[in-house]
Amino acid sequence: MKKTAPSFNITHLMSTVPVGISETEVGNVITFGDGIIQSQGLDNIRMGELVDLGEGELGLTLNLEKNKVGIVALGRAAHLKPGSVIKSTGRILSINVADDIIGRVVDPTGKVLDGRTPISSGKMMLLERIAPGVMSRQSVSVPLQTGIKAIDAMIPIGRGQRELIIGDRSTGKSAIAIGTILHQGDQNVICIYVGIGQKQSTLAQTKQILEERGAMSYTAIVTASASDPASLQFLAPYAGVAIAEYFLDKGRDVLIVYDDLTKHAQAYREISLLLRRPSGREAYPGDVFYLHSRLLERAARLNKNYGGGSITALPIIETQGNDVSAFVPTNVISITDGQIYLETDLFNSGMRPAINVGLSVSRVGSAAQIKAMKQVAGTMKLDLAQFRELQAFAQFSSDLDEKTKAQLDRGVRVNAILKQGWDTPLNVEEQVVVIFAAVNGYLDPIQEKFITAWEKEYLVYLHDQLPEILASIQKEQKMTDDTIAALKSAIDSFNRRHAEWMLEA
Amino acid sequence: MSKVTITTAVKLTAEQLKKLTTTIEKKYGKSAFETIIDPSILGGVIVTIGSHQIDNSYRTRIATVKQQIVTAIIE
Repeated sequence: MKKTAPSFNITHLMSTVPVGISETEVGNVITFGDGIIQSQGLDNIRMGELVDLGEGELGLTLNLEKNKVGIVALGRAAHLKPGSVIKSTGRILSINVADDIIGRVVDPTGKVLDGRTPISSGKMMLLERIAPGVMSRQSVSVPLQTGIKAIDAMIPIGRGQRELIIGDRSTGKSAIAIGTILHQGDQNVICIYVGIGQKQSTLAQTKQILEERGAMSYTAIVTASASDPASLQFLAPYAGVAIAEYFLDKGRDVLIVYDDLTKHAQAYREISLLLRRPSGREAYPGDVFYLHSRLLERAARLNKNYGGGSITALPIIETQGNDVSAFVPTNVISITDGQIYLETDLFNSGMRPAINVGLSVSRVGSAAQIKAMKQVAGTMKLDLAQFRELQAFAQFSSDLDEKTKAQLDRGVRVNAILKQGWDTPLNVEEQVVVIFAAVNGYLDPIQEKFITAWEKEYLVYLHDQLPEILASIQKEQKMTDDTIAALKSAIDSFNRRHAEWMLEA
Repeated sequence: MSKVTITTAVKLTAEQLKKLTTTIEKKYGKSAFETIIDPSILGGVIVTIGSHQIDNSYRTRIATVKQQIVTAIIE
């Protein structure tokens, strides 16, 4: 096999290469270990500046002291030894972003990881940028449809909001975030998925799902996996939001998922302890709150004068033993505009998504819902809360009056329609017609075990026979009296067709 | 008084050195000079004042060109 030599235009190269005198700040390594470099010299270096460690490796200044500089290496930097010369670059940490970053996998320094060509040179976005101020913002009012009934109906998320997804390991946290990304195909939203300290295999799986479902055509992935240095894991979310800000500046709506911030805090704790910063609660450094608040503050909805774009953030936090009062979870709960709380018990009892509706909130609330959804979901949360209370109470007695029994039966059915596969997002009009049927008692005569089948067939029926109902909800964004009447008769005739699902009279 | 290191590939003549030190002292004030002969820089001169380094060596120039060619080939 003949190998062709790579070709490039040397004339062009020679005319552009700067070969003049270089003026830099230099320093010497004093100690190097665990990715932390203590150095002397570098008198005029700035905080957050990149340092050339030689052999193409870079470092980042994190500690400036009178006689030494603390630097964290952004790679292995195996060649360094005490006395090695390191140079300043004059560059503040930033990442190159261009439109063709969509569909790609990059590391926090902007290096491509999917084996394809580098990102074309676009704009250098600062990793640490000040969040938009009050004057440039506007309140959240446009919904970000997740496609998940339980969330869109009861914990609505708006564009520009920060909604925390919190729960123990393997309760479906990432599934909710990825499901939401899958649903953005026709919503004109750009998605950024930031993987922090994940297994390479998990990330490969996520990427494969996104590719198979066509979601990579509007998604970029930033990752620092478990085998990358802590410094890269620490930078990953900032790189992600820097990419998001590139699109925000263009007036686009962006969804960014941080999976997960627990590992991010741990990576930062590792760096801080190695830099010998004083440690506080759970050995985290003093500025771990600021670490996350400055990140999540960059989620915003800008007003018309500033392009009208938005960044919606879905940070994920993993708790241990449902302990939401641990240090990092409480911090992030207080920073975000609400949380989706997932529980192992619910997950194991077959309630998927395993959202605890009672403990989950969205502080933006119904401002981020279309009118049709408000109409059907208005009392759903209260109904479910009452149901849960009754349910706990009813366990002790079999002798219930008719009214309580009816309330329980309704609750069971409303609960049942909130079950949904994570990879089968529903459009908002589909959600509306399903929830309409449940809260208006059309599911009461159906046997509980057939609810899922009922929902599936019902949507097929509406799409095939009466598409004008769905079209009307989509167009009007609300349920007109005519639509309600049409839908009621549609459900009646659908139920008559399926006598086999009914309860015994 | 700042510490200045002058690195060259070959030994400078007294006249060359005098010219260089006067220029440096004019700009950075009175300094303590140290001269190093390091053939591995190939040619030119590297002057280090404190932590500030002015690099006009052939080694660095060639390294820059090498880096650019490597980048061009990868792209």
